[in-house]
Amino acid sequence: MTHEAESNLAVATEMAVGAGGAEIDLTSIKLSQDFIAMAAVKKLITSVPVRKPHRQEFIRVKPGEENRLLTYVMEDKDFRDSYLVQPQLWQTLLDRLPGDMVAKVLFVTLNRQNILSVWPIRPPGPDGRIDEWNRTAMEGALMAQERWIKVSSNIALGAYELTPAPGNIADPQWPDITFKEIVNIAFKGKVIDTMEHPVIRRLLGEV
Amino acid sequence: MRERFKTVWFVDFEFRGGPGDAPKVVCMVARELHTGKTIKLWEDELLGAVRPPFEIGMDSLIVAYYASAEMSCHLSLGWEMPQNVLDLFTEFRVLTNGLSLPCGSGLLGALAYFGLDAMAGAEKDRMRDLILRGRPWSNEEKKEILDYCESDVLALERLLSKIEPVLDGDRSLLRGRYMKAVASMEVSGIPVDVQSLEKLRRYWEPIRQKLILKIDARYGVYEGVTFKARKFADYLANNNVPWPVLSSGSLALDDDTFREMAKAHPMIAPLHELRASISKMRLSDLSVGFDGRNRCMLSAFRSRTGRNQPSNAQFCFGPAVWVRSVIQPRPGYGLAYIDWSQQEFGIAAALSKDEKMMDAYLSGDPYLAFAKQAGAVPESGTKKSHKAAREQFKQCVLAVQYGMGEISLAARIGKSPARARELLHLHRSTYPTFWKWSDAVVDCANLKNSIFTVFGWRLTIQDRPNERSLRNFPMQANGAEMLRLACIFATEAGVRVCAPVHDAILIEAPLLTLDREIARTQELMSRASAIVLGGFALRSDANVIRWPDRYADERGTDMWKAVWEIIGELEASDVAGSVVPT
Repeated sequence: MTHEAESNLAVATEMAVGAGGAEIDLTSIKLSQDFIAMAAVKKLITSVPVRKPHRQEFIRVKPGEENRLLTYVMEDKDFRDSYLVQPQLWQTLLDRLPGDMVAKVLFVTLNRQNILSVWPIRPPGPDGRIDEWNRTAMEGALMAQERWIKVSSNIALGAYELTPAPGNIADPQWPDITFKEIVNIAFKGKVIDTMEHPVIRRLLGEV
Repeated sequence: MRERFKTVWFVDFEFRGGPGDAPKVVCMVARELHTGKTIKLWEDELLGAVRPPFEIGMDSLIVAYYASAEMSCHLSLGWEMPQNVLDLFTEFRVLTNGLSLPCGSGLLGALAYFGLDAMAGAEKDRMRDLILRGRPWSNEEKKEILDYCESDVLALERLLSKIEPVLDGDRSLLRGRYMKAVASMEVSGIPVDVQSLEKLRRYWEPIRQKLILKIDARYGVYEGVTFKARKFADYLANNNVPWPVLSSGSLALDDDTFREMAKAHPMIAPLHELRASISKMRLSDLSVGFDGRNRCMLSAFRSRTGRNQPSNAQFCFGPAVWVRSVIQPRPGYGLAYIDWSQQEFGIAAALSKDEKMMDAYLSGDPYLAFAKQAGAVPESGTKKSHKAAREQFKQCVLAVQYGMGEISLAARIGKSPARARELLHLHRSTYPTFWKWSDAVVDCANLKNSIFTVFGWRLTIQDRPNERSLRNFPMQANGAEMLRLACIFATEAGVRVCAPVHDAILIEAPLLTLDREIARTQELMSRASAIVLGGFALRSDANVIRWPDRYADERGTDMWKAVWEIIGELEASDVAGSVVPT
C-alpha cells in the first residue's frame, strides 16, 4: 500500500469512528457470545454400559493408572450380568463361589458417538497365564489409549483382531467426570456388599 | 437517553418520488423534546435551506421512525446528516423480533403494541395518496399534510416514552448510525444498463416462451409452459442425479432445493434459472430511476437475523441471477462486489473459539483444511490433488451451516446416507469445541427465551423454536452486524457504496481510483470483522467490473446469453437492428 493510500485509510478509519456520530467505543459495548458460560448447562451421564466394544465401533480407552481398576466381579451367567464385589467379601466369595468370582481390570472407553462404557478384561492369573481372547483384549485396551481402534472377535483365530483407524482422527473429548463416578453409574444397583444380596443367595442355592 | 443530549429532535419528512428515484421532499415537521419548539416547513422553504433548521451536532439527538427515509431526505436536500440518530423502528424491532405483531412493525403497529392512540390506517393511506399525487396542493391540502406529518412527530414523542426504558444505549445509537449508511446507499443506488433493461422488458413475454423451448431442449421436462415433475424425475434418473424427496415421496421442487442442488450439480443450474425466471419474475417491478440507477428500500433490520430484506422484485440482486447482468458501471467508472470469504465458517470459528476451526479458516481453504484435520487428506494434499474429497468436505461444512441432515447431504454430494453421516460425524469430532458452543447456543436461547448478537440484535423466542434457526442465528445475525459496521465505516469514509448484498458490499468508483477504493473498503471490512469477532479478521474477495464490462454471475451467464440470442432473433423478426451487449 502506498504512503498516500495508508494516510487516506487512516483518515477514513478515524472518520468511521468519530465523525459519523457520538464516540462509540465499539469494543466496550460488545455483548459476550460465550453461550457455554451463559447457558451453564452440563449434560448428565446417567447410564454407562458394562460391555466389551461392539465389533464395528472404534474406541479409545481413557489413559492413566487412575482410570482403571483391578477388582473382582461376580458373573451371573443365568442373566448375563456382572456385579461389582466389595473387597471385604472377596475372600469369602472366592472360597464359596470360586467359579463365579472373576478378577477383572475395568477400563473406561469412549466410542466415536461419544458413548462411555466400562470394558472389563480378565488379567493374567497368578501363574501369569492368560488366554488369547483376554491377551488380545488387553493389548487392544493399551493400544486404544493412544489411538482409535476397532476390536472384533475372530472365532477361527480364537482371539480379538485389532484394527487401528487410518488417518489422523481427532483425539476424543472426554466428558468431565471422574473414574469413580463412571464406575458408580455403570454398576448402579449392581454392587454386592453383603452375603444377603439376592444374587449371592441364589447362587448359593439359599433361595 | 433524553438527559444525555442538550436537544432531542423528533423529525418526520413527507416525500414522494417514482420507483427508483431519490425522494422528493414535500414537507417536514420537527419538534424538540425539552422545549416543545416545533418547526414546520413546506417544500419550497426546505429547498431553500442549506442546513437543517435544528441542531445536528454531537450534543443533539435526532429521533425518527425508519430513519433512513429522513436521512435520505437530508441527502436529497444537500443537508449534512446528523451526528446522532435514534431510530425507534430499529429499537421496536429489537424489542419485538420473533414475536407475532398483529399490527405489524410500522409506526401504527408500534403505537398499537404499546396501547397508544394512533391515526386509523385508512386515514394514513388517504394522506399518503394525497402526498404521492403530487403538486398542485391547495392551501387546505398543504395544511392537512403538515398536520398529518406533525401527528407522526407527536406519535414519536409518545413512543419514545414507552421505548426509552428498554433502549440499549450506544448499541441503539449504532443502529441509528447504520440507518444513515442505509440512506447513503439507497440514494446512491446501483448503475444499470438501461438500454438492455428496456429491451428485456419490451420482449419479456416472447422471451419467456422461447426460453422454455431453448433451455428445456436439454431437459425435456416441460409440456408447453408447464413443468412436469414426472418428466423431471425421468431426467434425474437418466442422468444419475440424486434429488431430495418430501415425506410424501414426491420430489422436492421448491426454489431452495433447486438452488442448493444447482450448486452441487451445475447441470441443473440453467433449469433452476429458467424456473426462477418464468415463474415469479416481473422485470417491470425492478425499480430503476430516471438516472438509470436501481434504487429501492433496503428494508434494514427486516429479517429475523437483522439482515436487510429488500424486495426481490425491485432490487437488482433479487430476481434470477442472470438479471444481475443488467448492472453495468457508467463510462469511466468501475464496480467492485466485495464479499467476506467463507464468512459463516469464520464467524463460527471465532465466536466458538474452536482453535482447529480457526486454523482451518486461516489456512485460506477451510474445506481442504477440514479434510486434512479429519484425516481424509494427507498434509501434502492440495485443492487439485484431492478435488473430490475437498468437495465432499466443503459440502459437509455447508450442510452444517444450513442445518442439513444426512439425507440432504447425501443428495447433495451424490453419495450414500452412510457417507453423509460419516462426514457429519467427522465435523463433530474434528470441531468439538464448536459443537459444544453450538449446543450451548440452543440451550441458552431456550433458557433465556432469547438470543442476541455482539451489538444487541435480539431474537425473542415466543413458542417452539426451530433448532436449526437457533444454531445458525449467531452466524447469520453477527454476519449482519459485521456488514452493518462495514457499511457504516465505508459510507462515512466516503466510499460510494451502491448496496449491501447479503455478506457483500457493492462499491463504485472512477476507474482511476477504483483499485484504491477497493483496498480501502477491504481494509474497513477486515476491521469490521475483527471488531465483531474479537480480533479475528476475515478475508474478503473482490469481483471487479470495469466499464464497459457488466456484472456477471457465473450461475447465470448461460441464461443471459440465451436471452440475448432470443432478443436477437426477435429483433431480426421485427426487422430491427440487433444489439447484443458484450
